Amino acid sequence: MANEHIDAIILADLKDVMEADFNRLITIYFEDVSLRLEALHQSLLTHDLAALCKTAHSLKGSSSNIGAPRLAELLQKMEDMAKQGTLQDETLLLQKIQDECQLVRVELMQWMQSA
Amino acid sequence: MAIWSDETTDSKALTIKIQGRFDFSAHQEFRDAYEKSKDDPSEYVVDMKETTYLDSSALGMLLLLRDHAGGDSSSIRIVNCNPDVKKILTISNFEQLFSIS
Amino acid sequence: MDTKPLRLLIADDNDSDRLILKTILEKQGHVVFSASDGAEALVMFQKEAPDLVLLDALMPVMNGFEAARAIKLAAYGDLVPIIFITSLKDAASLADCLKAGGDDFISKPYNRIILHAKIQAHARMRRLHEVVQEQRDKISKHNDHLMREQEVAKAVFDNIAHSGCIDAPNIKSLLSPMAVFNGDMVLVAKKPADGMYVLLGDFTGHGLPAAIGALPASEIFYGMSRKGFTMQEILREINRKLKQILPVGVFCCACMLDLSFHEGMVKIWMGGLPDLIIFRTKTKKMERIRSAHLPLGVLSDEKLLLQLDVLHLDYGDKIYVWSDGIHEALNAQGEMFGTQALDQVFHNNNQADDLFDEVLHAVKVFTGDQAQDDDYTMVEVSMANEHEVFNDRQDEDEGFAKKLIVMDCTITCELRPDSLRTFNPLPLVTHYLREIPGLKNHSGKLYTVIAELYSNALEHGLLRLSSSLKNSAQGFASYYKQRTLALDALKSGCVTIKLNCEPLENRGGRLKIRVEDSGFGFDHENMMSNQLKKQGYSGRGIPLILSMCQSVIYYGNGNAVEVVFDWD
Repeated sequence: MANEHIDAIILADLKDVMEADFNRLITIYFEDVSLRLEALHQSLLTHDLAALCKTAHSLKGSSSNIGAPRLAELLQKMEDMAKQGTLQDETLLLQKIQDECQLVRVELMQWMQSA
Repeated sequence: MAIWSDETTDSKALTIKIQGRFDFSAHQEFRDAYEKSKDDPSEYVVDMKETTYLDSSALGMLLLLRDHAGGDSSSIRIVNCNPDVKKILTISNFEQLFSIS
Repeated sequence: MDTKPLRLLIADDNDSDRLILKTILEKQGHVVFSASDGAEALVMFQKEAPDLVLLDALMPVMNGFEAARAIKLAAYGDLVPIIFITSLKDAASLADCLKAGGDDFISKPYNRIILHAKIQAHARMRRLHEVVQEQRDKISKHNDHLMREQEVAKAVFDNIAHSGCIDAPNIKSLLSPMAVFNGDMVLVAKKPADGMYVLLGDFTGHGLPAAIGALPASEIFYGMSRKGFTMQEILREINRKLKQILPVGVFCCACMLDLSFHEGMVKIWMGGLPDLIIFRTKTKKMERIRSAHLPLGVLSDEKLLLQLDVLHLDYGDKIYVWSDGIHEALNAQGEMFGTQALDQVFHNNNQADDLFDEVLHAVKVFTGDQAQDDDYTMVEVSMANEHEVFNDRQDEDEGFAKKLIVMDCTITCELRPDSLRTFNPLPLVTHYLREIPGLKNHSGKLYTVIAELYSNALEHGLLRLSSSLKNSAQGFASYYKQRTLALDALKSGCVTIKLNCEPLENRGGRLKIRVEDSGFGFDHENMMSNQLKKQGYSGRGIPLILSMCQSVIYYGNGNAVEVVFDWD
């Protein structure tokens, strides 16, 4: 399991590339996270494994780009489970994902506020 | 196909060796062999020991060499011809213009 | 980073990822177009024509793989590199990316350095591909241009360097339509009085440079044949012209035949072509005539040798002449057909009339599927009868002849040793006769008459050669040898030709031809009575002249003869 919620090196690099657009990027990411979490929830309810897999995969990708390694790992687990077709403790995993998202959000907010 | 040339020590004769097929692709190299020679040889030797084939453009090149070497007053020997090469030279009666062996 | 700015298309359904990638790439100096799904990506591709595409593998509405296939199709002949963006890790999935048309893949999270390196590498490939395409198009255009030039040139050539009487019944030929651009030329002309000339030429090189020599050669050939010049005179003139205009190293391997149907004889000159074969249909024996001369266009006039092989041929005997295309025809293994295989066809033959086709068939079988009969030139000439070959000896209209009324005049032509050696008066005389209205249609006949009388005067009268030599096939050859020697040695004497033309009352005119030599004459009275019984190779002679003219009278001691020809 990754140590940090946020990879500072990736984020520093990202801030350097995005410059003035950094905050906008984070905002877009947050919006996407909300949508994806909702989608994950729905997929579990309807037992739509394909959709579950896709959504987890997609969020995993953007989370790795944003520098949230732990979150990416959790989503990978969800993706693998959905691919294999055998769900086990999926509700628990979703909860963990949601919690991690919250933690990442807090840290990213700090990055947004710093100069 | 490759062309080599070397001169005798007293630079009186220039030998041009032709390896492989003597055809149109040899045109520039053959010309360079005698045109770019520093001295003015009085005799030329064309060594066909490793020449496998001769076509009409090769005959043309020999005529060009002869022209360069002084035409009727030129001294050119074509040596070490294999039977196929000799046959082509014979049909064209080039022994009337060159010394062939 | 010194990179060449590119137009890039990126497609990712994730908004934040798309924003990050777009920013990274724009910072690297590129122009970036973004799409959020596969379908949009395809539309954008067609609209913006980017240099390179980065596609997320998993997208809604048309996933990355489908989009990649569609884009590759849309790109058609161009190379547009596609880099898949994927966080897929297993080898099978990565391989699927490449199978779908992807050229490379890159994973998330994005690594700026790797992105840059891969984009540059693929852009390089694309540029290389473009260069190759440009060159291909250039070459293709150039080729088309050349083809069109050749078509125009061919149309011009067909009017000048045409094949003359190649369709004569005693000739079979294989000649490709573009033969002149392979350097091959076949010319056939009928001689004014009897027989035909055939010339097969093989110029060095290919294409227009080779074909150019055919123009003057054929003009000379047809012009001089029509006027009654001898084969040697024609060859000399062609050689002179080619030597003059062709650069050193360009020449024409050639064979010329002078066929005389009446005498059943052929004279052959060979310079640089493979052995000619004579096939005797009765005995099925083969004779080879090898090339004894340098090709045309090599030697200066003084050095040119024009020794001829002279042979008697029976009716039906066949002569084969060819360029080296047949002997050098290659099979799949790169071996040449060769002389031995050719000889074999002749040995195996049963019916002489099938020989021509049998030779071609043997070559086709040998070369297999890659047979290109384009490069073979082969002519079969059979000894025939005059009337079978040219049943209508009406001379062609020369077009530009002046309408000179020369009905009342005398022309005298006296030739002394130097002229006798080098000058042939027959074309000049024929030309004059053709100018006389009413005589044009008889010029063939008259040429025969004057030729015979002139030859008698020169050879028997002045040079004192015995005509009995001409009674045998071998004799013919030695006769001509002797003729050359005697003529070279001639120191004094002359032959005079006098043509007198006057109108006749009520009808046409009367032509008196008088030929006189300064020799000792002969027993013409005896000859006249014997001629009527005479058969054999020296052929026509007086009976023929008598059949054409009103009268033939010998004067003096037989060294002068006058022939009268009336016409309407």
